[in-house]
Amino acid sequence: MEETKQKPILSVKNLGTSFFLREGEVKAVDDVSFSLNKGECLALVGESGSGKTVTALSILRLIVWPPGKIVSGEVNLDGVDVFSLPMKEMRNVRGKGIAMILQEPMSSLNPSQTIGRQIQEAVEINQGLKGEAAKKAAIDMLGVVRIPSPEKRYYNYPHELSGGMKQRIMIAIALACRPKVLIADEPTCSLDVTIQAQILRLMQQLRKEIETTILFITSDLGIVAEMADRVAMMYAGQLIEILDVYKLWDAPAHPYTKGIMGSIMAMKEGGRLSIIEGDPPNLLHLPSGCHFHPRCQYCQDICKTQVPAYTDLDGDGKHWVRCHFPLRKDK
Amino acid sequence: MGMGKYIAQRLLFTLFVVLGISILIFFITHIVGNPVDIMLPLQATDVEREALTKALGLDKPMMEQLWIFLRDFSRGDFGISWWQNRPCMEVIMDRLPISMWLILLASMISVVCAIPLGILAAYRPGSILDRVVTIFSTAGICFPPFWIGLMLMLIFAVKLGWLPTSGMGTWKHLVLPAVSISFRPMGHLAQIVRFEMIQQLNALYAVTARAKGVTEMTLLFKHALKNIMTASLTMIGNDYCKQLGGLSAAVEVVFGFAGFGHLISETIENMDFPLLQAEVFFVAIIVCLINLLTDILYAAFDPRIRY
Repeated sequence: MEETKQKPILSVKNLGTSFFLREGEVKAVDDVSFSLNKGECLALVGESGSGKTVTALSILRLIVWPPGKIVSGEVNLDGVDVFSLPMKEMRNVRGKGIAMILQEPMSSLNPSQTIGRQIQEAVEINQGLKGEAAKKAAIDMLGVVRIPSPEKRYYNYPHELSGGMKQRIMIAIALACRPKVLIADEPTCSLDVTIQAQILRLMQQLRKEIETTILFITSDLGIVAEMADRVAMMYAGQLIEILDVYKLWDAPAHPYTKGIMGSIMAMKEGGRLSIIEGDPPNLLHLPSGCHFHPRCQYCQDICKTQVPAYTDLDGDGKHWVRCHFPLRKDK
Repeated sequence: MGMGKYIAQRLLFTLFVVLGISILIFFITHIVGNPVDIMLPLQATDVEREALTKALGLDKPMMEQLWIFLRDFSRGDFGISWWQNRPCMEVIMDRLPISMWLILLASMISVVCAIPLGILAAYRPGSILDRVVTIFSTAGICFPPFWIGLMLMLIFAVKLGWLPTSGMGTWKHLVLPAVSISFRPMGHLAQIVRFEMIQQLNALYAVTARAKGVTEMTLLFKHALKNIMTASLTMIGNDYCKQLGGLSAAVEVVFGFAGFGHLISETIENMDFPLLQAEVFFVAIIVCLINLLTDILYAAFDPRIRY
């Protein structure tokens, strides 16, 4: 799963994270590999429960044991082997290295601290500023995320702000870390549609302004089209396909990706809504072989027994798929 | 609403509570029995009985009695203690302040020990340290304080001779009783702190804080500690009231400490109704004031609470 030419800024190899519950081991993330080049935006897409958030938290080593544990894999951030660092040095990775915007702005801020202080804390830790300088930088960040009258808002508490404003604060905190990589975990999913559009526009503008590398987690394909350069599809804890975003509409190779795209295309063309038969699998009792096989219309015998390996579809390292019988456009 | 207005409102409310409690006290004493029967020996004559009834004002209509009772209470006149033959107010003022100090000291000891213990336990739930703290706090709650007092007395007063065995007068006399009293509130508080802290460390805002590079120490003390204060304050205030309301009696008796708890038990032994009334009245007022104080302090820790 190596990208050619450019050395990636973040690479994740064979990541596996499990939750050990009384009922058994849940492989929330299983053998996930991808990499991010500097300045690009990779969308991590999948239905809820497919392991997107756990992937993100694993990269930052924020999985709480018990019950969760990273069981395999490695993460390389700009030459640093993240998983081999002692916990003490993780704070150089968190923030400065990788910052994260969580999906629940309502409860992701400390209720008893002013938002200004919470941004300033990120500034102090990651930019090395102190006192007045740090405060000024925090107020500047409020301006960057288009909060009106930032000097006054600095002293507001989270409960005095709306959901959209809080998400702007979350973005400000993440950006105040000056991260090499920004992980945005469904930053708009709990906001209403107009606010969603505002936040997305803000993120697009900021992306142009500060040229960060973004791992954008979402289950909304409309957002993918607007934000991402490349797309990584997840299903039942596994990464099943990585491809350039234009190919997503053009030539999806995994039957699951195609199924999802098919359902959107049908809606746009006014035709019948095509669906993927069946339900997402229970992570405690995953189907053998390819986890998608019970729902796959192209399923063969081998799919039921063998987990497919990653295939480099075009031989140029750009389009990877995890399927025994990937679909090709010419077929 | 402004803070001043809120406090004024709460004080007014406290006044109503105190009035209600006074009326309750009045009726309870009338249900308990005729004070004349209790005060006079069995062989007292009818003349004597009538004289006392008149002296106590018990021959007047109920409503008038209640009125006189409330009027006297509002003036701080709680009548004469039967047992000590001097004004109840005087008796209480001799004994209440020293106990308030004693229990305050006990509360401070319990807070100073319980908060670090609770945090230590919450830092790694399920660890050996956590189990030790849990066992210690449960023991603190379960062991009777007077037994703890006796053990402490044996070790620190009898064996080591560092502190006086009993009596009062200097700060040294306060130490052992205060420590004995502090165990139970310490246990309660440590468990509350542990529980609340675990919640805070698993909250989403903790993920945000860790993701921006905050250390666990900063997370604990700069972020989470403030958020567990409302629950902790409730517990601290509650335990203070319980101790003052008579729980401290056994310990005070053990250490020959002439405090308020001790006074309550003596009052009951002597069937001294006027004094008991006055004591209940004082406890009620203190409970109201402490609740008011904790409510005001909430605002200092939780910005969502505004008065």
